Amino acid sequence: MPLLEIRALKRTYGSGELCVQALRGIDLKVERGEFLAIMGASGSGKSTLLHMLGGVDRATSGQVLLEGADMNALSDDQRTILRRQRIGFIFQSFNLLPTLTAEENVTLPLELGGTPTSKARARAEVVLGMVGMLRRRTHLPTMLSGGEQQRVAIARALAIGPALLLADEPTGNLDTANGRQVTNLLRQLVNQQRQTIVMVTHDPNVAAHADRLVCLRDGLIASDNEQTPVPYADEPVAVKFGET
Amino acid sequence: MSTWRLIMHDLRRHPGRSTLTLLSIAIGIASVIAGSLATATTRQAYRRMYEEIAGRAALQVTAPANGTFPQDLTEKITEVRGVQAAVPSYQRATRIVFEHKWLFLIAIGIDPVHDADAREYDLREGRFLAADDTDSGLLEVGFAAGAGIHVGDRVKFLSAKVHKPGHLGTITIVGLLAPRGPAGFNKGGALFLPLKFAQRYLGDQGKTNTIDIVLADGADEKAAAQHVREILPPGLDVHPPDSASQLAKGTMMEVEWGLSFASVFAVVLAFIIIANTFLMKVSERRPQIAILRAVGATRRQIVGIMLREALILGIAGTLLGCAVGLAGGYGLMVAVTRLYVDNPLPVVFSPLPFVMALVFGPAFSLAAAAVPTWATTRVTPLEAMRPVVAREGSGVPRWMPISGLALLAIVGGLLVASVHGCLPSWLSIGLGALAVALVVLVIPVLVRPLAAFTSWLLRPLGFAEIPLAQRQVVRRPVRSALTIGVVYVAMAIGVGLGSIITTTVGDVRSWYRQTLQGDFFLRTAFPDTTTGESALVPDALEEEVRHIPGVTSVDTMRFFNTHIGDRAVVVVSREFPDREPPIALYRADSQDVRRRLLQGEMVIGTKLAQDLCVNPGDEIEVDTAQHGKQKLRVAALAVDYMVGGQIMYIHRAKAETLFSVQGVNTVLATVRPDSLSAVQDALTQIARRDQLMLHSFADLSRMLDRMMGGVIGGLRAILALGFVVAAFGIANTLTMNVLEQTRELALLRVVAMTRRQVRRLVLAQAAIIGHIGLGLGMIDGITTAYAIGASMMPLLGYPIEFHLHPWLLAGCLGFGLTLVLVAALAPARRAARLDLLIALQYE
Repeated sequence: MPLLEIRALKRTYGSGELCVQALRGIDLKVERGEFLAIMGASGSGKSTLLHMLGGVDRATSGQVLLEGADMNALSDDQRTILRRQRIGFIFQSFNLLPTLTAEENVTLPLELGGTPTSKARARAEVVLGMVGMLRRRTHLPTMLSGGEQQRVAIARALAIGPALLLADEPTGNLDTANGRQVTNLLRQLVNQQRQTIVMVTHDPNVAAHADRLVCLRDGLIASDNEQTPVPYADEPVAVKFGET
Repeated sequence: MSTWRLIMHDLRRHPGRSTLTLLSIAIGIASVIAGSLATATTRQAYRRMYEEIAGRAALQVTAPANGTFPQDLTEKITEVRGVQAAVPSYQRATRIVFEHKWLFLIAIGIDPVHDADAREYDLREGRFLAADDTDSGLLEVGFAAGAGIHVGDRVKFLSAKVHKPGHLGTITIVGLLAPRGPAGFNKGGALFLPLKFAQRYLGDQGKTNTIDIVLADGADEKAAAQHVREILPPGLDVHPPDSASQLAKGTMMEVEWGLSFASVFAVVLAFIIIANTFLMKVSERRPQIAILRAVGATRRQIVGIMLREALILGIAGTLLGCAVGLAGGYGLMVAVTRLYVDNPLPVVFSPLPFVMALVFGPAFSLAAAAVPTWATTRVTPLEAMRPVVAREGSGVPRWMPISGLALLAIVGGLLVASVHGCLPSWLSIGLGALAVALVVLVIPVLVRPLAAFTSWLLRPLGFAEIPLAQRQVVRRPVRSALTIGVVYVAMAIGVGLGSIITTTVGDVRSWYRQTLQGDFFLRTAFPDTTTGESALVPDALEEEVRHIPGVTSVDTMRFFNTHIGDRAVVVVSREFPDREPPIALYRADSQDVRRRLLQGEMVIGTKLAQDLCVNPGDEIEVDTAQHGKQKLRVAALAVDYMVGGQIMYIHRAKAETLFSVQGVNTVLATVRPDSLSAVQDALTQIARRDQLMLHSFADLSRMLDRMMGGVIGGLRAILALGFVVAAFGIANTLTMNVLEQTRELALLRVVAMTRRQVRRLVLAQAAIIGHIGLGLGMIDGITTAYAIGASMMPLLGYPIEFHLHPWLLAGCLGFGLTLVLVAALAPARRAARLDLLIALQYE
């Protein structure tokens, strides 16, 4: 069974003359341990698709099955809990809470789920170590660089041991060097821990690190191709948009 | 737990906002506690004062005025089922002489053996009275020290009987009592004598005027009272010992209403400010809330975080409010009790207001934060993904004005019913406050038209920023409405309470100018509010004053108590020499009333008339001692501010006939203007000689103003605090507005606006908000003043006439507008100092 399956997914905003069809029928499967990149022009529906996968928005019709559970059929609370337990989010703008330290930001989803603070801290140590931010665990986000903040955000997403990691333009606000670091980190997670990642990006160099590239156009899948990912080395590899 | 750290971090990060919320709760709690302490403890002090006199007695039989009844009634009462002991006593005002000093006090004849069944005495020096004592007496230790009297000293006292009138008897002081219990009676001015001795020298042998009844454990008080009533002769009744302190209670009700009114409105103001502050918190923390939702916080968890924050602020604000309320309450207590007695009553603290505050303070904070907290449930995690979703509604939720109008109609109807007596009148305070709060729900739909109207009014000032400011105010109608609401409530309190205070002060001044007609007053102590007893001036004093050159007329006053039914009433007997009687008549012809008074009719207080459901021309039964219940016709009604309207005016001759009262407490002299100084000198000598108090009319006015001043000062302090808190609320909201408009203001600066214009823009917003709030508040305040005046009918027996006070309106408007603009200065400065580069990047 695939980890994630999308069936005839549609999302429409507004009504009547102001109706906008962001997704017009998406069918997709994502296997465990797969690194999927989604690309597309502005307005193609890639962010909307990511919102559906993360349960932060509800589809107009269709199904989003995560480990067999249809997220569209769940209540808001059920989707929230599912998100807390099985899905890790990485945002373009990091979205760390500015008044909490790096460690506290990482333990947040665990404590919200009722994990005792001591256990949450222990887990935070592990994941911060994985992303190389253990020494900075007592620092506030304002004391960290963009790349460092994003690494803490990745640690937060990993803290719950997610089945699925969703990354929304994770390198969008980073310079080239930091962006490369983050992309390499994601690749390592897939290679070493069989983490399943779905990433939205507009950067072909970033998308080149994925196992599979899905291109969206006007709310539909224009292409869906497996590719040989760029190894997590230094040189970027350019991948033309839409080429198979 | 990260969520607690989140809360504490946020509180520390916004100290101004946190302090404002804290202060709002503290002021609301403090005003309620201060008011509750002042009323509850003074009531308790009066009750305790009278209970100390009555001691363990549950019931009492007293003779009206100077009446007496046979002492053998005591034995009959002792045999009544449920009665454990019946203890007689005899009280009379008298004077003692010691080392050429005349001292006025109340003589109390007690049964030395059985009196301890009803009362506890605390002997400080010497010994208590013995069963075989005759010419022995006890004094209160403070009174004795003041007079220089010690144990073993012999003092002379004026006896009414024995050989011939005016004969001085002699007693030996055998003991001194601590100033508590019955020794506290008449503020220590009491002389305790053996009962038989008192009866022989001060009254009639075998007669008494008070029997205190102690009931057996578990006895039914009502049944015992009924059994006792059945064996009493006509003209006597049995009642609880504190019935006379109902007089004190009645006089306090007006002050209690004022305090309750101010407290309730302070609470309403606090509620609106807290709700506004939390609404701002939600708005500012939307991104944070969205992130929490995105990483897995449920709506319930978000609500929990917000409510926990409200709880922390509620607890901290309550504790602060309790401390401030305690200090304020003490001050108010001293001010309130000074209204009724020459010296402050002993302070008695009640823990109940604090317990209530500790329970309701945090709950109040939670309630105020409830709606803004509910708003957090509408924040979706989508907002964390991309800022594509509208951050906050710019419209007005339909439920607000609809529910506001519906509830306003219901509450308004109930308020009208309360004002007209169909519902308890005390409800009008809470209903009035609720109505004010409900208007705030309706304000959002009025923001657009009112902002347009206000802008049109301000346009002649010629500032181009005004239309821009108007758009800013209209853009967030709910937020603007809450800020307008803060100003509106403060203005409504200011105008409403201010009008009532001003009108009442005017009425009180008018009352004492009408009733205390005279240039000089010679008197003994004011009547004791618990018994109505007061010592008498020398009999020859009236004639002596009349013969002083320059004195044009002399009037006298005698105060004493009687009962009408089970109601204690203060009787004022006077000569009424002038054509217009010195009574604050209510809708009556003064000359006609004087004629009726001389014919033996009476004038009663409006409250008494309302309680008895009588009108001028009706007859009512009055308790007299010697003649039982007598019917007297009501000539007219009078306004009274002395004893809560439980007053009766009667001609001196009629009083002497009906009640067998002799002598007077006060002599009033009217003087030729050119003889004021000479007469004052003469009266001063008389006062010194006879140990009397002398006041000029100016002295009395100052004394009464001083007595009222404390309470009025307290009420004005609450009003001022309300305005100050409102100012903080406005400053906070405008700061929030500036933050939200950061990008827009930066763009305006880039395009064309100078710093000065940006400042004027923020000030213009404040001016628009202020004008709307002040205007609405003024209308509401005038309506409130009218409604309160009308609702005073059940309290006073007549409605307080409504008066517009233009200077008060102008003052509140000017002060309010100044405060609003001052509050806007800091946010305006902040807006003008925006760093353009940073501001342009602001999301």
